[in-house]
Amino acid sequence: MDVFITGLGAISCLGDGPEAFWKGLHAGRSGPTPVESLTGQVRAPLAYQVPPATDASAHAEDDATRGRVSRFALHAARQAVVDAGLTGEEVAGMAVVIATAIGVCEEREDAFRAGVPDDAVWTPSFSVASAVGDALGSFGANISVSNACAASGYALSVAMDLVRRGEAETVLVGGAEGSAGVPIAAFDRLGAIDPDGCRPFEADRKGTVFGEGAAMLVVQSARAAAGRRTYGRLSGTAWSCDAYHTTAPDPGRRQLVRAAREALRDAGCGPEAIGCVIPHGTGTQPNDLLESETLRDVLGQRCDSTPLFSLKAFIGHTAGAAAAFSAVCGALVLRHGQVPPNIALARQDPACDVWLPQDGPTPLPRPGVLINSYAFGGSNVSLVLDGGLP
Amino acid sequence: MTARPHVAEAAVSGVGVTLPPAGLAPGAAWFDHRSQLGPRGYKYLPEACQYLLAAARAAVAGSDGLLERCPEERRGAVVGTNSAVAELHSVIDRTTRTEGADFVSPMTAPFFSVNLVGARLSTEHLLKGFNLTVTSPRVAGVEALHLAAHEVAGGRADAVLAGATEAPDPYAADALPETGAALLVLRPRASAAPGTTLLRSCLLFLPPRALTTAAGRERAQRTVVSALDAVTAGLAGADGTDVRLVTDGSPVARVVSDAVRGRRGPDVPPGADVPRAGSLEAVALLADGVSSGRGRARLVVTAAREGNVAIAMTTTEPLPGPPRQTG
Repeated sequence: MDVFITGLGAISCLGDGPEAFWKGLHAGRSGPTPVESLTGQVRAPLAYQVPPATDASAHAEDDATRGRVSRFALHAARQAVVDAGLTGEEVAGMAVVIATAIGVCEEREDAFRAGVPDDAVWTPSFSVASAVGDALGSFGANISVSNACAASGYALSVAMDLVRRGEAETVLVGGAEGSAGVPIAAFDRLGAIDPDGCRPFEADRKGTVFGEGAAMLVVQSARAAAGRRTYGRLSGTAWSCDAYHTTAPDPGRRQLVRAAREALRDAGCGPEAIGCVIPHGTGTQPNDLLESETLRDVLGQRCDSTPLFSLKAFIGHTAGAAAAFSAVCGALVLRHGQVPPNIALARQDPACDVWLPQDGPTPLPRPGVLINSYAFGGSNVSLVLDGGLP
Repeated sequence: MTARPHVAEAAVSGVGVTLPPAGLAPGAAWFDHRSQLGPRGYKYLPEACQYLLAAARAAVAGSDGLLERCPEERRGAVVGTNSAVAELHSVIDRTTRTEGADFVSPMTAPFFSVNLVGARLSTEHLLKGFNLTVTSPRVAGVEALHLAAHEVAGGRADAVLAGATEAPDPYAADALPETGAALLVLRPRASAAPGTTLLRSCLLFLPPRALTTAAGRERAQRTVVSALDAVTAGLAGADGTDVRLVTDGSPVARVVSDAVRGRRGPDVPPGADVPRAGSLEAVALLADGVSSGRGRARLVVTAAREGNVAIAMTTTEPLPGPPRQTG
């Protein structure tokens, strides 16, 4: 059963809404800002943060009691619902699948530092999906996925399965993260933050930098999508696991290659159908190298003529929301028929033998987008979007 | 358009639990990773990860070699948790704010990422098909079983380790912190021998705000009843079903409890007086139903203040399949 993308929502360091997101991707530059609450506590207290004015204006008054991550998620969710033109009854029957790597742990810490009232009720750490389902009044299945930096890739796959099984006609799916101190501190301790920004595929890259925000998509069955303007199809997904190491990817790359090839197979196409790759591309030395080698294995000679769009150079590593941002980006690439120019690299790592166009938009050569998303623990997911119509 | 909760179904080929002894004083030591897991390599794992590994070993040992017979890329894991790393988050946060990130332990720092608790299952048992972590409030354990059942039924794997693990949440507030792990080994029903225990499950969501209106409560009631009927469809000995509620005293829980009693009888016992801060209890009850049910079906219904509801049943009755879907 086909699954179509009919609505998008996004709030990020690039601004509020998919249009601001797309415009920001053409700016040719971006950068992290200091996380003030962490100054003096970590060596590189940086993140690609939602600008304060956007943060303040984006949140409706009725969301004031919710934490920041839930408000990001709900704001982007409302955009996606409006963009898809869903009716009230469709929203009420809609399933919700939302990914978050860290949940609302920071808000819990803040609340408990401020003092716990005697009548306080337990606040679960991962309540973003249920907060969105509650606010929208959606009775469909409500699922919270937390597979670290690949979480929203799995969420998209779970959403696709809900539609394919006939369990839902309409699913709101995405991811949300804030600039929580815990992951920044942990990455800082592990020496995995690049103080010069998130610079995937640069020769002297030193690690990643986190980003914050939320990206949401409405995906629908062909029946529900009929008559709507769609961005394309979510046509293939595949999962794999390295089963190798807690944090390091398997240098053998077998499971990375398997995920990408099986996603293509699930989409019913081969590498010749792919016109753009949105890589996981975090800026860590091993990830970018192994992913480049994987793409050369999967795409073969076509790797030379298939543009990569290095999204994290613009918005940082949005962790559990990263693949959802990639999917929003992929949907916009399909809609506009072009790949935005990458942020200019000072010197591309010669070992990362992939094409990163930097001189202007690249016409999308073929209406297929391959998205990779990888995580700690060796969790890998690949997704294929294409330009199919209902 | 009406939400259509679907029933997932799988065969249970193994069970493993790691739970503290009943009546243990809060905070008392009860688990020794050296004797349970081995002398080296486990010391710095979060305790929820240690419990999970111990439960997995028991589950795999009791699965008659199923996992070993499956190719590595046809094995998977789905783990549900709410609080596996809550204490670690608190420690990292406190250390960073008082001493700086340089004083965070590099051995435990990666485990800020909650999926690493379940990821260790993959390295121990070479589960290369997939490793998924789900975290919905109070229902994450059954959510894991449900998604795992769908994955084996849908052909993504031949065997999946699925269940819940928790470690005490330092901020449990009104709830009782949970500790321990419970896992099932699931396989496609079609590949299991007659008489094998079956697991059926269904996930629902009842938006708490919707329950403030009569129409919303009516819709919620209808949704729960419909799902209960679908999960128990074809059960000949329905009257003898052992029904357990895992609730939290919330409006959502009240709607669910009323619906369950309306359908299964007024004698269904209430949930525990003190709600649980985690997703373990429901899976532990299902695991106990498999281990000690002696053929009696066990139905476990979990409801959370946040709106998440999970219905799951284990039975050895030869149910007709597949179960009809609710509409």
